[in-house]
Amino acid sequence: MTLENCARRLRRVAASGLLAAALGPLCVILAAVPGPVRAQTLSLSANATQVARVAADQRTGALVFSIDASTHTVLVDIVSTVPDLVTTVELPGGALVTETNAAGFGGSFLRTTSAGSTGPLVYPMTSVGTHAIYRLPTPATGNLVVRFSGPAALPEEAAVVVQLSSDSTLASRLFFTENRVVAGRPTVLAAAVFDGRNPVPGATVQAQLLSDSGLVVAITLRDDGGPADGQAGDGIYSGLFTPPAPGRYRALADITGVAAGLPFSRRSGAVIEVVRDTATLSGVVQARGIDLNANGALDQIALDAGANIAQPGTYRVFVQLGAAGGKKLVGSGDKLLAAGAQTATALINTQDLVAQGLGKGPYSVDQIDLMYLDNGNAIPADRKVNLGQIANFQFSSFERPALALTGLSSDRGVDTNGNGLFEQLRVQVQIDALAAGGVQFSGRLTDSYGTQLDLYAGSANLVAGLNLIEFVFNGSKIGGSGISGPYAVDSLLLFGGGRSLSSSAPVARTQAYAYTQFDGALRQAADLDNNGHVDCADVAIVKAAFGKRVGQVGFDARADLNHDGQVNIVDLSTVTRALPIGLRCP
Amino acid sequence: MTALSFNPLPRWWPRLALTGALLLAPLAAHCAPLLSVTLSSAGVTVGDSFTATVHVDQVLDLYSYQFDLHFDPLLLSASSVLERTFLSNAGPTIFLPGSIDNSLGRVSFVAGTLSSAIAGADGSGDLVEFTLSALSAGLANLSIDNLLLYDSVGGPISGAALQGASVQINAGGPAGLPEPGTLLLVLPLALGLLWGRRRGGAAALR
Repeated sequence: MTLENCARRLRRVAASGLLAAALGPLCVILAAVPGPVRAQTLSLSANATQVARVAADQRTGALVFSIDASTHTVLVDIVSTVPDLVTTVELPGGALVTETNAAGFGGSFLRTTSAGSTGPLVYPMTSVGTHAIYRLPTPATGNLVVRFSGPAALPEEAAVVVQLSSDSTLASRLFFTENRVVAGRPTVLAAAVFDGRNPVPGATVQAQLLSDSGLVVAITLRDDGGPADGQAGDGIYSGLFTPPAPGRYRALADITGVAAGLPFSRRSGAVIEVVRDTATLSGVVQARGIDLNANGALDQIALDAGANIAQPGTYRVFVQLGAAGGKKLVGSGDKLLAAGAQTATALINTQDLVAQGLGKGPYSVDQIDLMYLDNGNAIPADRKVNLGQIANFQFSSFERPALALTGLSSDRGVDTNGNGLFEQLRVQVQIDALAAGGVQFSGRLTDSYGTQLDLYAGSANLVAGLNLIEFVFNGSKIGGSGISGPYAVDSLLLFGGGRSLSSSAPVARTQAYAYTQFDGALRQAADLDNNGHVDCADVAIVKAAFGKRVGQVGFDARADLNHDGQVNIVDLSTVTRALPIGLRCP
Repeated sequence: MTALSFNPLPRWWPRLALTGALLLAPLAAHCAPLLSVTLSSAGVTVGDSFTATVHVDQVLDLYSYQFDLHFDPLLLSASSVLERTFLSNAGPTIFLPGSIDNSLGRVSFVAGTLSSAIAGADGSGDLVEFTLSALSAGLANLSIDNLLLYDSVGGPISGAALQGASVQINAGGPAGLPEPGTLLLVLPLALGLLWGRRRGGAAALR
């Protein structure tokens, strides 16, 4: 159930402490949208909005805002269609700021006219009208009073909207737990109310939802652990909303309460899109193989998703398969479906499974999205996630080319002469062959910049099924490059017996070798342990062998840098001279 | 109009310059460093501990050193080796106290070096301090050998002069009682005086 998911996820929000880890007005929640649970970042804001009117019979007005202790600066935006509205701001403590003396209080004043957007009171800063904007420091807590006065001859009644934005840590954010919902199905509207990292309990959150058609719905959001709420007292105030009809709904919440002994008020808005109820996924998915050319090998995997169709028409279904290693592949399909219980089918080509390196499975159905196609518009109908695994398919049962990469590879460095360095880098790449036979192959080894380090050409006798072809690259070319791994094998060309396989893209990526692990590495003589830099470990090698001559117990040839058969101050100072400035070794 | 002229150098000037150069040449040679051993006490009593400090004089760009200290194992015993500050004043150092072999009377492979690509130490100062104990009475010598000095670019600093030291170890016992070693020194003098007095007395009798 969606609601259960929402409640559960909201509980996770509170339990995870992610909100508590928020910095300033930011908080992170686990969004309760359908689909895999994922972290989202919500920015909380400390906005409060109030509305008043001026008219011929009421030329003046005042609106009062509470300033809490964590507020240091406020931005007061007074919006009206009255161009010559005179405004003042009375700061906590009684100082009167006018449009001409704001600078004297360490602030500023700006009067501007905005063409604005169609947004209503949710975003007054973009509203049409004249904006009288004060930016003021607030040295004290208490009430901030915004006063305004219209001209003597007001042609008609006008609204005055005042939005106060502050840097207060007491901040809020209204949000829907889903971005898009189906008409007639309940969804959760929630408001996060926090003072810094701490949830604010006991607030009153009244939300109003306004549809495009003018429908107004009032909801009280509660942090009481009820059906729509996850956990009581976690700062997330929630309520259920069931949109009756498709369309866009704007929600506006007035949040009031008391924090640190001072009253506060905040206002926050959110928008949700409601689509009509077209179909519902049953959550049942069945997989079957399709052999298009009747050659006994599977060309496609069909994923049949059960659905209850309310609106007959054409539907498009997307099925996302997952495999080991986090690899994913999406299949899709369109189908004309009648009303009632139906099956929407997504197809995945088995060659794509092979080419994407998903291997033989098992595959999990990570997500299904069902869309209703309405005159070219894809309207979301339903979504289901984490539907478990589908039947396993044998890799050998897939239709596949004569030669194919499976996406698997391995690599190892080989020290052929026991000098502690790799003379070879051997990379094995797995190849799937339909039939046995000899092939020739070649490929190049490149560094992370795409520069070729070595080229290898070889041959192999393949068996029908899975094979490993091995590239043997010259270690001294790697060491001499001075570039550490990981390295890649690309430009693969494999042919023989009338079949071929090529890939310009990397077919293998090696471990993150250091170039100094390879023979011929350009290294400092003082880098005795061959780790790519001179450090105290190199000093320790010389100290351990200090005073020893060749043949004596404890003599270490690495420490005899000048090869005179004894380890002495010449060798030690050669190493210490190469130490980085500032490095002190015991 | 008077033509300007100046006196040419006297004819003996080249010979004077050559003589001066020859006289100054030894001064350049004198810039080779001197490594010496200085003692905390020139005379000690059996059972006493004292320190022997290896000091370097007039060195330029000293980056690293290595040497052995020798002593008479019948008279002395070494117990510790400490780095002194001359090299470490120039930068971070790595010090190896070497290995003490009291049976052979040797501290081998005492070494120190600066760290990183920095200039060496210039001037004079103490490199290493040894603590020794007096085991038996006698005159004990301390000397340095197997000396290696290198500058900051790895070049050898050659020509260093070495100067050891001696310590007189007195036997322990009641105060004022002459020690055997002292008696050996005094006895010939006393015998000589007695012989001279006898000869003088005999002459007077004649």
